[in-house]
Amino acid sequence: MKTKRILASVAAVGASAIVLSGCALPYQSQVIEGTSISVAWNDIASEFNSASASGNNVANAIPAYIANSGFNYYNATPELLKQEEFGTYEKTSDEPLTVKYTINDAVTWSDGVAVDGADMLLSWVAGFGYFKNADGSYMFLHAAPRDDLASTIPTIDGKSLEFSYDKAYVDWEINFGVGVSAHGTVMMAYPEITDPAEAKAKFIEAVMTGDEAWLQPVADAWNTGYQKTDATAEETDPTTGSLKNLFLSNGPYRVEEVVTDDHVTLVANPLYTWGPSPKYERITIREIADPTAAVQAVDNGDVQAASGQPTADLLALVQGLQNGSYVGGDEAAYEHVDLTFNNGGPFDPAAYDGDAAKALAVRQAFLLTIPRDQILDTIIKPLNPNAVLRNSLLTIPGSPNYDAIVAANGSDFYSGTDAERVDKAKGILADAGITTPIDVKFWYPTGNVRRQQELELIQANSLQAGFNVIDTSEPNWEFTDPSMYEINPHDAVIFAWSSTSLAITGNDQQYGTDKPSNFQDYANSTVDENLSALETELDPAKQVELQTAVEAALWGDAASLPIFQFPGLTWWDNGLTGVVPNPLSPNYFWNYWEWAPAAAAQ
Amino acid sequence: MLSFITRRLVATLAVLLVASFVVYMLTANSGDPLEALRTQNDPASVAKRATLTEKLDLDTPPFFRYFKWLGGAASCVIGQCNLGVSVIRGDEPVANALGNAMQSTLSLVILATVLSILFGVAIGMTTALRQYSGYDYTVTFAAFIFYSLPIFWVAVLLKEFGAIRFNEFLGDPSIPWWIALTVGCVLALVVQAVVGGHLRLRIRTAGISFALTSGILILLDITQWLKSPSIGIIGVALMGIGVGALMLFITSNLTKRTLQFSVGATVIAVVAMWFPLQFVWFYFNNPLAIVVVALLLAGLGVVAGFFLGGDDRTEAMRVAAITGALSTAPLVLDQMFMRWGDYVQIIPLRSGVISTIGANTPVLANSDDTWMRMLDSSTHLILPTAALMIISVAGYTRYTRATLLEVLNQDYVRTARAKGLPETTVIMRHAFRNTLIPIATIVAFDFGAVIGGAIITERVFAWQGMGALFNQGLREVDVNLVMGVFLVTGVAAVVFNILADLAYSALDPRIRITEA
Repeated sequence: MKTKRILASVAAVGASAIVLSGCALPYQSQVIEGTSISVAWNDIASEFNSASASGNNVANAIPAYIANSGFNYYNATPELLKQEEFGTYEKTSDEPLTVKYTINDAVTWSDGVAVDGADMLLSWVAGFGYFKNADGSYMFLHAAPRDDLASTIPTIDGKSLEFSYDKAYVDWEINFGVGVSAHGTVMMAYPEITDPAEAKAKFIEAVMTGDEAWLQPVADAWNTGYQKTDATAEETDPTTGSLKNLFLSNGPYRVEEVVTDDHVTLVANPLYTWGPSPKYERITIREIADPTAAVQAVDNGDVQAASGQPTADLLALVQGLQNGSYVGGDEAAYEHVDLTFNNGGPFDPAAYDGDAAKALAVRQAFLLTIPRDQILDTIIKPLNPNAVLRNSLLTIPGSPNYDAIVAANGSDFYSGTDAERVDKAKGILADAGITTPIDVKFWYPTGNVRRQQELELIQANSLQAGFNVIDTSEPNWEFTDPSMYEINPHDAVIFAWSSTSLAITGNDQQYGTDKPSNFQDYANSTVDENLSALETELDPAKQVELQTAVEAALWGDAASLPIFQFPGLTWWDNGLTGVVPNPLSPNYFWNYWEWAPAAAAQ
Repeated sequence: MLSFITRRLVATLAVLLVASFVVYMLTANSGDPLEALRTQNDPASVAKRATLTEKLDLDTPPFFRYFKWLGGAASCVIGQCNLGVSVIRGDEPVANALGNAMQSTLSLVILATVLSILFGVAIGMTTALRQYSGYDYTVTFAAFIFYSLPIFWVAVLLKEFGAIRFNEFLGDPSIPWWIALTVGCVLALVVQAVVGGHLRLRIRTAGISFALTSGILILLDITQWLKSPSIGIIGVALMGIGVGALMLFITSNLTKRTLQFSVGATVIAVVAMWFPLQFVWFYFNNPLAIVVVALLLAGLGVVAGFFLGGDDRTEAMRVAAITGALSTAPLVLDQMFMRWGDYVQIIPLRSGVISTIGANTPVLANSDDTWMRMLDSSTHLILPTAALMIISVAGYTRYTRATLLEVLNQDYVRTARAKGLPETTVIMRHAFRNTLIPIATIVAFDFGAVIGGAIITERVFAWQGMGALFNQGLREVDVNLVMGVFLVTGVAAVVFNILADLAYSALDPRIRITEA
């Protein structure tokens, strides 16, 4: 019955397309009337401003991503692609780094008001923490304000905005974009302003003249005004609704309805007349926290797509789907073992009277005895048959520079089979004149079954080379808290770093000397220099060189060993086509415009 | 009375205070709210950690933080609750989050409790009356199995068979003749075991139930009723007769002519009202309509009882009124089933109607049509309620059986029998009431257990209530949220205990809670 309706709609759309093709319309919507789809995520949106400190999470990012377009996005590779139909950006100067963003004419908010420089200015003011309160706190509570990067007010020219960074910044491309609408935010703060043009003009004027008293209510609206967990379709109507300013969007969909902790419904935006056309008229995102429930929901037809972290049980359930498909893939987090350099343990030169070479030999030997192949084959491959060992500390497998970096970073020191590596480790220990057994205090978070299995494999394997791995697991991550332990008491720790973007910066937090996330107290001046140079290096070729140099030093020092990328699992109803998982946020939602009913695709 | 309630409330407050301290300390020490941020190599995570530390006041030890929280919670007394904000829910005030969740959980839990009591007591009574029969042993066996089942497992199985497979069946509802006959045989066995009596009576009962069940199933298959089910005036009439007979049986008036006439007239009036009520349901499309119609039909019952009741006028008016009011149910069901065809088109399910997640279908959540919304709620409520019920019912069955057996052995029951009262009167009027006293205690205890079960049930059925909040809060160590849930569920459990105490005095004349 539903298939028939879909076919009829397709036919109708097709027929009108033929009739209209005489007029050669530049844009033809492919939205099929009456089609809707429900998809699951483990949490539901609570705020429509996903850039604010309180709204910055994946659950909020998903509806915001579907409702809005932007200058760029991540595809499934993952790599950053430009969305030129929305607008363009270019680097106009290297010294100082100056960038210019221009939004295309056709791009409007869902109430018909053009997206322009005022909207970008709002995003700029918030993202670069330009205004501060008297006590030094930020006026706009952005999730990650970067007032260290830019402090000169941009210049606005209609739909363009140009600004310069105080210092060269390698990740400038993903550091700026359009957020919530300027006129909507202003009109929420000042309900007496009803003309969008006036709202925009007043906002620009206030920013340019630094009128903080006038901006304070706008900042309040930006910070908390977008928190909304419940809204009906009437309220969100872009022409008459009482919440129309709150749910303004500039992309293929607009928010139609929000129900607390249950679902968000998005409906095709009729003013979206550019860019890739979506196929479904409505997308409903429902909250299902339990992955098993999400599999049964797809089986029953309650939702058409879902994703989760696989376990053997979950995989078996998904494989049993009668009318569903699934695909395993990577997630953004990767498992790795870090060795501690300063706790007087076996990996600290102090244990060998400051003999750094001996400590290095022990570190190399220990990392060599970690049975990476066995861990991958027995724990990860059953969940994701395509899984491979990760051989880079800075980049995700599949990302643009991964292969080049792996080829030159010295990770081949750890190639070969598990058995070959154990022999190699024995040789290194013997050459360095180390007496075994060596006690290694090993930490993993108690209760994590997968890591417990990994530890068991490591214990058995490294014993062959004379390492006595002692389980010092505890549930809390106390070693990460300097107020608990100034020096990490564990000799080796296993956990995962998760990335949220392909940002090149950020690794200095883990590997830079005395940085807050450097729990192993790793210190290498080459790494420090290269990482800080990387932050301001704008030439992509040189970026790869610097990353390779950093990795070469890290691998050479045997500081850390990456093992595998976390497996992910996405499954969907066969009535739906076009679902492709993506390791980065917004995960499998990244190509929602390609989702189509199977009946229409034939 | 007042002093009793005051004393109970003071004691309750002390219990809640100690419990809240324990729960607060346990939750605060259960994990690290910054854990996820610690393992992100996002440059912003350091700043985020600092913000969160300040927001959650993590530098203050939990012991002192508890008293800060208590200060805010205590101001609830003066109507200005400050339960803090829930950080993991985007700084939403906890009171706000609770308000939304409370409604859905309480509706689930209360429905499950009420239905469990009804079914549990009914089954328990029948087993007690057929003590040591095959039926008794079977129910006892089943009760112990259900009592020991883990609820998450029951819930997942219910979804597999109650939703996914059943929906597949509804997509193509054909009942082969041999299944119809087998089901008929099984039901015949059960019914004759419940009814009991000597061999001839048993054979007759079995024969009738077999013919009825198999006949109905075959008829359903031939007419393809399950494909587009409807109730209509015939269904309303059949159900009305059922309600009337049940009422007569429960009040042990099955053989009284006057009562039969009154109830019969009421049922006929209900059926006659079917057509005019169609307009009421359509134009007065509001849940209130149910109350209004129930009152109206109860009124008809009163009138019928008044004129046909004869010597038993009061009793007749009462029974007929209840029959009338209860007959609203088939009428409302009829309205819901009328929308079946549209409903199946609207919902996203592949086939069938039973949903496995959530409290309603998103597109219907704000529908104007009350009866459509009710149909939608029912298809979503049925499985979680069943999951919660299965375990509770088993408990109630056992308690009711034991209590009724004990009561039936008492002297006053023997006296009642000796003076020649019919068995139904002895049981329904004399024994049943005293059976309810211990049951009231169990209800209060069980309510707490059902709320506990709801935490798991809500997760499995993606139902967004207190249980979901509790899960979320505990997983991400959001102490404010967990405490908010604790406060509501704790108060609810305690209130139910007080209500049970009050119920004692209503049920047992020997218990006086007023100071003499």
